[in-house]
Amino acid sequence: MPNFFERASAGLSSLLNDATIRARAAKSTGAALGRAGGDLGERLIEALKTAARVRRDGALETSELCDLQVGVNCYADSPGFMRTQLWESLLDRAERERGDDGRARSGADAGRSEEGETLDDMCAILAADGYYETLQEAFEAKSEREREAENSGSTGDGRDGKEWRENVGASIERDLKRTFPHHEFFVASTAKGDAGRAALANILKAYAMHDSKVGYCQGMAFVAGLLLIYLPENRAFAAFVTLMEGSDFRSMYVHSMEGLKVRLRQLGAVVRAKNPTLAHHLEAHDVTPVLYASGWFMSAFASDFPVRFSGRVMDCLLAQRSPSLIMRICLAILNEAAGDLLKLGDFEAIVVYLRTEPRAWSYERLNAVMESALSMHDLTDENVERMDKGAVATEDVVQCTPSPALAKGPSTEDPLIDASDVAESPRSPAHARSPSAVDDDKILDVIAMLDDWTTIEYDAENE
Amino acid sequence: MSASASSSRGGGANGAHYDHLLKLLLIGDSGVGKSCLLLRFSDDQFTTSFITTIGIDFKIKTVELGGKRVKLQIWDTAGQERFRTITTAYYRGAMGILLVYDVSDERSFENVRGWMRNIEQHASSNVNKILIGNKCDVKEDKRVISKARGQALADEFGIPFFETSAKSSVNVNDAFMTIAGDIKNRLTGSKGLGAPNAINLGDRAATKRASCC
Repeated sequence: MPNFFERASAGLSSLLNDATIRARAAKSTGAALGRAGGDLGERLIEALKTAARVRRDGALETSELCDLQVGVNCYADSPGFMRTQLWESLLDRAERERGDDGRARSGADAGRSEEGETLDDMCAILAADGYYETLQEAFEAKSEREREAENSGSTGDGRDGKEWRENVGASIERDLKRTFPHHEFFVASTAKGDAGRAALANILKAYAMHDSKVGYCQGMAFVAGLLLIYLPENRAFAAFVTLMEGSDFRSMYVHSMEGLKVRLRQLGAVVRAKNPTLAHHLEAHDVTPVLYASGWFMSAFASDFPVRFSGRVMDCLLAQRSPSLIMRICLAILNEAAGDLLKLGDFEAIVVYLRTEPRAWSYERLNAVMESALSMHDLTDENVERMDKGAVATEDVVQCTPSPALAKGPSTEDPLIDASDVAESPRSPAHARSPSAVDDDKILDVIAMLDDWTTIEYDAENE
Repeated sequence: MSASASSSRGGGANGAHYDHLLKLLLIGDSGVGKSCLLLRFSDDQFTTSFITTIGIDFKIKTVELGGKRVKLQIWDTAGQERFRTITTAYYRGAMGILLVYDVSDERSFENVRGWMRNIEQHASSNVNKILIGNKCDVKEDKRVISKARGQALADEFGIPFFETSAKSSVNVNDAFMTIAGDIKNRLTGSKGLGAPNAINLGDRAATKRASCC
């Protein structure tokens, strides 16, 4: 790639517009180049770190660096604010799509009355000024009402009201200190941690009002918390709603937890189809997905994997909004673990391994997992469902269906940033749009910026 | 619980041999300290920075009981009500159930009856049970459930009762060892393998119970 460094020096200049800072960048990246020799990867990492430090005038800690996943490319050690920009852009796109669809659909089938709010309706509501704040006020008002009702001995909203207080208000409060307890954003007894917890509470309470059928379910706090690390509060809320609807996180958190049960069953079917040796081993030792993958699904790997990894997962989730993405990562983890697991001949040892080892894997190993997951082009939402249905039919022996292992549909999905065009959840038809639509200017801008970062040393060297 | 794990097997992957495998289950409202109790018992540790238990988890601890090595497979469950749809499947395989409430949380105590109904519905009819009032280290002005109320409820159910503190390490070991001993007595008795000298747990429990807060 001869022109790799030359492509975006203009973008770089706009970022480093202070002459003093430019000089400093030139000095330190020059040193980095000297150390790294011909290794492009190392040079890029050093350059990005330097750029990040320069951008924040030396204030940036290493912990604020992240690995940014854009399509199949991973931009290692990018400054955290680049993720903020990426997520903001993806969110903008999601909102724009919903807005477009809303206009198109409202003309086509005006007057339809479906149960609950449609995605389009919700988009309009979400976009309305002050909606998020209104939800929070509504939450506090309802809490106060229930409290008064309880104190005065009347029933308020009755048994439901009391349950609501316990299951929503109290549950959220209890979980705040049990969500990312070691992360600087949420750690106890610091001003930053207190602010982070307060923001997390606001989001969860607002969501509980926004979607009273779900209310609050454990697992949600990790997803919202991860979003909060990189997004301002109101944007994190919007992203959370997007995930709940667009990636169908919602069905996992409803009272029946049907979505979780389905995913766990699907994972069993997927492993049987894709790694029969491992599936046989796990099943022979009664190791079922519920024992190790519940948290993986319900928190999108945020509950116990490093943020460095779950942040990348979130990059993809916001870009693709495909439920099968988590499924792919689950399978990739199991594949990566298979060598170790097959040596374990004991139920307890296998479960303990799966619960404790993958989250502690080295950066390289988790990187391999991510790359492997993103290359599973045939594991689309559709094919996952097909494998699952095949497995269910086989188990019930009621109907004859093609072997689930052979059920491979057209391989249309490509985990690129525009994969949402083809990898939609069948439950969110409002997202469906022409595959040819390319209106991702802002995302392309972000990618261009990322490429800019990687060219810093070239520009600096040529000062 | 795994059907593959049975008390007749004598070894695990870690090579620890045992004479009996007992499966215990921790249930109770969210936030009462189930995971903390388990960590205190299994590793003798306490942390204030636990993450929420999502779904189910277990820990292993091998103890000596009446001259036998007994492996305890202790299952920890998410307390939020809707998770019962996932966790009740694991009641059936439990030989003993530790039902936990928080002495500083009225709601968690009120819900004990609901948890007992769950046990009746989903667990084996002869499962051993124990009632635990955790967080007995809290200051008196924070405590809302007296020890007498806890004891009265346990008496009503006819099950052992302990007030524990995972934080201050009070009675945790005794609570687990008591139910383990009860299970072992039940199993060895019913199988006719009677080991009359098996359990001398009562002495240990009695001495420490006096120190309960």
